[in-house]
Amino acid sequence: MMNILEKCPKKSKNVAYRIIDNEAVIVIPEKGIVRVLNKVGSEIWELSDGKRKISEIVSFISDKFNISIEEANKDIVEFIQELVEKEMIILE
Amino acid sequence: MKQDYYKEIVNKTWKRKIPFTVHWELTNRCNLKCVHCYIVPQKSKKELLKNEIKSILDQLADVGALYLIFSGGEIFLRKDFFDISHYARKKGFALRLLTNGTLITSEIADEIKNIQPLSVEISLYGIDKNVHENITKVPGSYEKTIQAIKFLKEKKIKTVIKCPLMKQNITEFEKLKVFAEKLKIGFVYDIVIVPKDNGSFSPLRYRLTKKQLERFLARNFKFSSKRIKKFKKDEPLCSAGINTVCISSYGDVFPCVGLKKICPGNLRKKSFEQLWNSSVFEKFREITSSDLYKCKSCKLFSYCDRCSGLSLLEDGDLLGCSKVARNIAKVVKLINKRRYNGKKRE
Repeated sequence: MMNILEKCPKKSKNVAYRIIDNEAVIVIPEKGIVRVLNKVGSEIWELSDGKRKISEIVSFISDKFNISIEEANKDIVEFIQELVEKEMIILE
Repeated sequence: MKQDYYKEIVNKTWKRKIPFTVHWELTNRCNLKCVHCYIVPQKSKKELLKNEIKSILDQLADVGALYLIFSGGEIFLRKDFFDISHYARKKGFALRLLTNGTLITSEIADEIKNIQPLSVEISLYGIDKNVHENITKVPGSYEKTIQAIKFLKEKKIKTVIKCPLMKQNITEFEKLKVFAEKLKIGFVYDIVIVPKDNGSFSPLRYRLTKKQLERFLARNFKFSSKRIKKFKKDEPLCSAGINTVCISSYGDVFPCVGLKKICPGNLRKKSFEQLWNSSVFEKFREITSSDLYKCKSCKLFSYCDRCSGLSLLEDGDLLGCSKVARNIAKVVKLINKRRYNGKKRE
C-alpha cells in the first residue's frame, strides 16, 4: 500500500474524455469502450495529472467529501487500480 | 435494472444544449468526382488554416464537445491533417474519419493507427471495379480504396464500408455485404441521395427507382416494435443544433450537414459559443414536432424517417412533408401490409 500511494496516476493518452456536469465521460476509441465516472471518481480523474501522488489525492478527496483517510485510501487505491487495469490510467 | 450512465450523460447534453458531437468538413477539395456528391467547393472562400482549426478545437473542448467526425471532400488531401488530428486527440476528442481511402498507403495507415480513431469510414460503391469507378469517375480509384481497406484491416483499425445505394450500384449490395462480413468490418448503406449544397437536384437522378426500392426494402428492411412510433408533441426535431453541430471547411456553422441554410455565421468572425448561442440557433431550437403541420395527421407517420434538412433542401419547407421520405414510407407500409397480411405488427 505504501508504495502505490507514492505513485502519480496519469490519464492514458489512449483515451478521449470530457467532463460533463462534473462527470467524466471516458472513451477508449480503439476498443470502443465508454465509461462514465461519478462525481468523486471524476474528481480523482481530474486530479490524475501525473504530478500528484495518490496520497495527495486521498488527502484532497478525504477533505472535500468528508471521508475518513482510511476509507478514502482503500476506495481510491481500488478505483485507480481498476482504471489502470482498463488502461485508462497509467502510474508513474 | 442496470442504470445506463452513458445514456444519462447524453440526455444531459441534450437538455443543456452541449454540442457533444461535431461534424467537421475539413476540406471541400477531393481527388474523386463522385456523381452523387453534395459538396460544392466555393472558390471565393478560403479553407480554415491549421492554427484557426486548433483555436476552434480549444473552444469546442471548453463547451463539452467529445466526438469529432472529420469529413471532406477528402480529408487526407490536407497536408496538415495529422497535425490537426494529433492536436484534437491531445485535447481529449474521440475521432471518426470519413474518407474515400485512395490516399491511404501502408504508412498513412500507421499514422492513422497513432491517432486511434473510433472508426475509419470508407466510401466503396461496389465490388465490381467498373461499377465503383463509374461513380467516382476516376480510373484506378477502386484498387486504391480496396488496398486502403486491407491496410486498415492489417493494422487492426476499426473500418466501416459506407455505400449510398443508387441505380448504378444496387446490384452490388449483397456482394459488398459479403465482402465486409468476410473481412469482419462494418458495412453501412444509405438509400437516400441528397441534393447538392447549392440546391442543385442533379444527384437525385441516381436515386433508386420505385421498383428497385420496393425490391430492396422487401428483402432487407427489418421491422421491429421500435419502429412503431407515434406522433409526440413538442419534441425537438432531431439532435441537430441540440447536441450536434456541423462546421464547414470555411468555418461556417450549421445545426447539421443538411441544414446549411441555417447559418448564424462564421468562426473567423465570431467565437463558437457566440454562434452556438446565437438567435438563429435559439430560434431553430424552438421548432418542435408540434410544428410539423403535415406529419401530425399523416397516416404514414409511423413508417416515415423524415429529415428536416432534406425536406428544406428538396421541398423548400423545413416543416412540411419530405417527398422522398414519404415515398419510402409508402413502400415500407406496403411491404409491411404484404408481410403481415394486414395483421398488426408485434
